[in-house]
Amino acid sequence: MLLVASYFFYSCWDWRFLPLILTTTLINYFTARGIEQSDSPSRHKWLITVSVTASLGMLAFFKYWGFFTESAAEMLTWLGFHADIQMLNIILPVGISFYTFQTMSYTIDVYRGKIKATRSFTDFALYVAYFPQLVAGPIERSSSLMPQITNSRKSRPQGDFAEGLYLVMLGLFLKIVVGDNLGFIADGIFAEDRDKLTGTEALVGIYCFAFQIYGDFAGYSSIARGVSKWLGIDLMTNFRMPYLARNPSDFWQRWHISLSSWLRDYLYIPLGGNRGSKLLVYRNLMITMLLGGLWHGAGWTFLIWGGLHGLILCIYRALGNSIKLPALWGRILATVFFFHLVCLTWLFFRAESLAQAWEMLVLIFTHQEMTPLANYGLRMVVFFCAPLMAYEIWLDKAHSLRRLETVRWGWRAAVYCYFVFMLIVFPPPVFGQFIYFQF
Amino acid sequence: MATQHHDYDALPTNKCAPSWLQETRVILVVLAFIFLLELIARIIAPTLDFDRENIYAFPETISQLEDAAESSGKPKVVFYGNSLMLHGLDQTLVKEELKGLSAPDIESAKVTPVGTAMLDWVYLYRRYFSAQDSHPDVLVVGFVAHHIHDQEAIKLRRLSRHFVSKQDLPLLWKTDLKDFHLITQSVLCNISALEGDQPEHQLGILQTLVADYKKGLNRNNDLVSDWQQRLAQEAAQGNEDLATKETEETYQRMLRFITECKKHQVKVYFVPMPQPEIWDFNPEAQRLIEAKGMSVLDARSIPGMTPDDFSDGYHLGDSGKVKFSKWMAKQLSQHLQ
Repeated sequence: MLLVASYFFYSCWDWRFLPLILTTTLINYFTARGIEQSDSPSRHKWLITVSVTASLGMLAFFKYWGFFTESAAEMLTWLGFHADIQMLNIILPVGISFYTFQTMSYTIDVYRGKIKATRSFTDFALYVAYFPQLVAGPIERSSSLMPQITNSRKSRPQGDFAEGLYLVMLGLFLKIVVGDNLGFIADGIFAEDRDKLTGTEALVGIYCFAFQIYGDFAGYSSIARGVSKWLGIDLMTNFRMPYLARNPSDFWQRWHISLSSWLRDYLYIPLGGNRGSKLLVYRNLMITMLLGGLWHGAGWTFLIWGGLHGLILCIYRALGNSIKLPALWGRILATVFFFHLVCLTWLFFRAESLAQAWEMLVLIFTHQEMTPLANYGLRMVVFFCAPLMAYEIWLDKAHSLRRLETVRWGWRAAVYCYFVFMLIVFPPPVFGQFIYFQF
Repeated sequence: MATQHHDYDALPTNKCAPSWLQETRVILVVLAFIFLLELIARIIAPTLDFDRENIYAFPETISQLEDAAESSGKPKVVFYGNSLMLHGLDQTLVKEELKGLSAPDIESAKVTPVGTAMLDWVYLYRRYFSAQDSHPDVLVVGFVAHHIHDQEAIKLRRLSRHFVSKQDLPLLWKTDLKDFHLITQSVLCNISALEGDQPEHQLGILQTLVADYKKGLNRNNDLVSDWQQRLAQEAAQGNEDLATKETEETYQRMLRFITECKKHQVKVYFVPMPQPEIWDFNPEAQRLIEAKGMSVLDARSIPGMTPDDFSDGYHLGDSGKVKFSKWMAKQLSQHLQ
């Protein structure tokens, strides 16, 4: 039933890509079964190579072909050669990056002997296509999701309904109220002619985008987790108050956790992780973050975004322990400073070109002027985000995402009333597509 | 209060998990809160702004017109449209002028909700005139180009809340809304003041709390709109069909309006309204109006009207109102004969 629902959900976007997800499913199912049934290490290697190559090959074709051919053509032209490379207008299948990484993690875990390959094809197909998280994650691990699919879900712990309700309400608030409202302002500012834009407007545009992408993506993850809770399946937490991070390492344990932990387990550690010389560790960090950036999208701006995060991680690794700040004020200062550092990287993520990102960056440092647009944008950020951030600080102080479930029910009702009020009275002018659907 | 624990996703103990009973209470409180909001929205709706006051007065306006015409036996003339007609026409002056011109006297009313266009007028007529079986003899509709063609964007919340009657909702879904999301929204707005008047609630709160809200919002709207136009132009490049289709204007809504009026023997005069600069009135629209037996009274170029006669570059100011009203009386005197 869930499998049929999942395929129906996927085909609502474009049924022509159903064979693609089925192909990925079939390849990974049979290669994992092949690894399970064989004792030969060479056969294991051969099968895992086939599986990874096929998965990454499909991802590369659909997501990166245009980018690489275009870049190659530009490079050849720049070098003075006549480039006549055939460009293909390929539609990016929604969610391909998510389900490719999810299936790869399954096959790699079977290869590593961490889990057993499942016999049931339908269970595995559901693992790949499970609809709440199919198109924008969280990227689940087989060790967590497969047992929940395989085993009976008749008895559920007390509080599942309440948690599901909380997650769905929070997700709707994040997506519709925070993400879409601020996204509309960010869209306006990033569309402004550079010669008319002021540095203050640019800065406000970046703040808006920072909360747009957080609201949009964390909102989706939260709704996915909440709906899944009601269906009797626990999905992993994908966000934990990321803008309260005090350093890059902390940030990546709070932002898109399912991807950062995937990159850590299947890329960073296999590359050598923290082992080896400092230079090797820096190299591993840079490769991981650059590929993490490229995972988000086929474009130079995403590569730069990943590269900047890699650089920040390297600098933090080199200097982090030598910086000592006084307790409370130090923590506040570190949080504010790191938030702005993250905002700097968002500039490259959101900009339509490197030139735009650079021009906006220069404006921020050279042309500060409060205009009606900047004033409006800034106050809207405060209006929509201040209560959210206050709530997150309250959660963070208790180190719990579920603190609201532990207080008296009246407080929970009051928070939900606030969510409902904001959802009804402050819907965005335009409902935005989920940003991460394109990844 | 929660005890400190470091597994972000776990509750301190399972006993902390809310029970069904607790959650039912939470949901009931939220539902009660929504009903309270709805109640407040309904109470404040008629006085929310000038436009709402105007709209809520329509039944009374129409009923007064009906009563006056019944006792006097004079023809009923309704000046119909939006803020252009609202600010541009002085009914008293029109009547005085008609007297001076020895034309038949009239009973008149203005039905002019601001920011409306042809689709609003179609449903408004059905809700406030046809449903009450109270029809004017003459309907004078003021507009500029974009108000009458089908490409004008639908303001769904307002349309569904104030102009479409419950009985007409199926007609709206069948002819004007194809999207499930829009259909759902139209139902919600029709039954709920909280949903239907949401933009005004939002505006009221944000204007109070956010300095430069209106200025900043308008600037941002312009930027996003320019950006979307650029994207649309880029998408249309190399696709001539798309580019041509976008410029084509159709008039199905206007034809529906005419059919509705014709069914009740109402004579409709379409009045292309004056603007600081003379604008292009699509000849196809004129041809369709005349083919259906209605008339066009062209006010785009009234002798003596100058850009100074406009208060804000769009609506007529005091001097323009006088000139337009006199012109209108003259036209009516000729046609009412």
